[in-house]
Amino acid sequence: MSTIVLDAVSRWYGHVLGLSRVSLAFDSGVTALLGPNGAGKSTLLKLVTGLLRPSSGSVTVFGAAPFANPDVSQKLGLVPEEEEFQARVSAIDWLEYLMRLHGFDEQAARARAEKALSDVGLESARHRRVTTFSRGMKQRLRIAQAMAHDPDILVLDEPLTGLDPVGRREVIEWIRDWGARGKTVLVSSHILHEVELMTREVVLMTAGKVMASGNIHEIRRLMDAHPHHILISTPEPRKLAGHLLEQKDLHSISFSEELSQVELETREPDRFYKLLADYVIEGDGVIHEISSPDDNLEAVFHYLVET
Amino acid sequence: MTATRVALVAQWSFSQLLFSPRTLAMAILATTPVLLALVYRAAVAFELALQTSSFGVFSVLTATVSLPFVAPMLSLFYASGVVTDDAEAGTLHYFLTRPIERSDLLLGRALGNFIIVSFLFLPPFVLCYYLTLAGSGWQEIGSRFPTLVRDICTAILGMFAYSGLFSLAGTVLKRPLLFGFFFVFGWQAGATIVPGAVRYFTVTHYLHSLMPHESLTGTLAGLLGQRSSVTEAVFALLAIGVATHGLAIWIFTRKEI
Repeated sequence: MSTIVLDAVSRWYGHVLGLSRVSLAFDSGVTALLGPNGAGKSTLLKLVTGLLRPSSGSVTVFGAAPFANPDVSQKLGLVPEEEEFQARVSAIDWLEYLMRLHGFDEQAARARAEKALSDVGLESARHRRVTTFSRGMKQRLRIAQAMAHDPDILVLDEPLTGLDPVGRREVIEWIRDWGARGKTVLVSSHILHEVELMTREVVLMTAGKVMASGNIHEIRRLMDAHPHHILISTPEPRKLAGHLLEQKDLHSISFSEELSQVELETREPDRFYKLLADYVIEGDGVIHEISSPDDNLEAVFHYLVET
Repeated sequence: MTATRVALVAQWSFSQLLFSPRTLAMAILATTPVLLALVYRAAVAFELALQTSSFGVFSVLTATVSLPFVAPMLSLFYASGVVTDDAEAGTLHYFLTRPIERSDLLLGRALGNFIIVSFLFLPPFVLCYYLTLAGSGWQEIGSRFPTLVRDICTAILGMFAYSGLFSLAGTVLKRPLLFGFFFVFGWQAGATIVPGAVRYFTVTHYLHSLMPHESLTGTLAGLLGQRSSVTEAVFALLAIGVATHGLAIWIFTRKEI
């Protein structure tokens, strides 16, 4: 039996549909929930962590309904997206209190709090008031409070928010490590390339519905079946176009009014980028900027919705 | 329910509130009777003609300031935040995803709030008693002491009832302070002058019924209306406190965040 099971779950907020007949099962390992704002990711995470009840259908975690269920909470760690901290409290006292709510005695709670802060790199700031922390430090503290009691399930809502590149890399490493250690990890994000570094298992959501789920490469293949838009800014658009027109995979090519931008459509983006690299290195081509509107998740959704 | 968890939450709640800006503001509010008592002492020192005895002044301060104003205001500003404080601070999710019964969480918060309300109310109240009676000698202070004890018990019962009521408002409403102000200054003030049974739906009616000050019978009796018996008043205040706290817990355990 899966650790987390959602069976035909719908969730309404008054007349607004937050989640529509979602059926999913999660086991050990990392699964990413991907989708733009309003896709239903946070609603799904709140249902799993027992903060919300489904309007219809059922949610079970370790076979039990999670809503206000201490037995489920014991095995669960949540990194909320935007939650703050109490004023006038130090990081170590805050964590120690939360660990005491988990039933640890004073010494054990202190020890766990110390270890968790050390693990997230906040050891030297443990006696500082949390309100003086930077955004990145607060995010590390959110992660520390979720993992300090060594839960079986970790739920992370946009965990990379506010982190610098080094912090992002560290958190991605931790997430992969938790998954490798057999924990069930649910991560929500709207940034595709960051998710790709964490896991291959994804659930794509939009407008409260699951559009696709499974291995990320399968979904990317689905994306690659439709032409990718690529915009290239260059001072020599005709030279670039002449070089690219020899390629069979090119679906269309057009110029902007100022003639400084070339817009292309290709069905083989990976091969196309290699070709572009060759053009710069071997053909002495000059390119100022490359962008692809299709590389963001929303484009994938549009494609999935249309098909 | 586990007493240790409730005590843990109460202790945390108390420690977080103790040095907060709110407590500083409420401490100033709580000293209002003391300031008035000092004014009275100054008036006595300057030999102004006062027709009321020292104990009469204390009675009036208790009946018009401490019980109908300070006690409900302190209860309102703490009890109404039993849920909204964490919701507004953005810390609620941290607690609701811990392995603790929601009833323990709310009860612990309510207990922590009640302790701090008592902590703020009682010392100035006792100080007010000693200040007003200071000129009457120790014999007067000693002989009136049972009245002070009864007033303290009345205040504690009243704050228990108010705390339950405002905890319930804080659990149900997004703006519980507005409800509290309406209840204290609108509903209660109006209900005491409306004839009939409306006054039984206020806390002040039962508090006034418990006040033993003989000097009030003539002065304020007309305003306060007919009293309930002591037993009825104690039972009513306990029932209001228990029922409202219970209802707040029942709602909180089912509340989606």
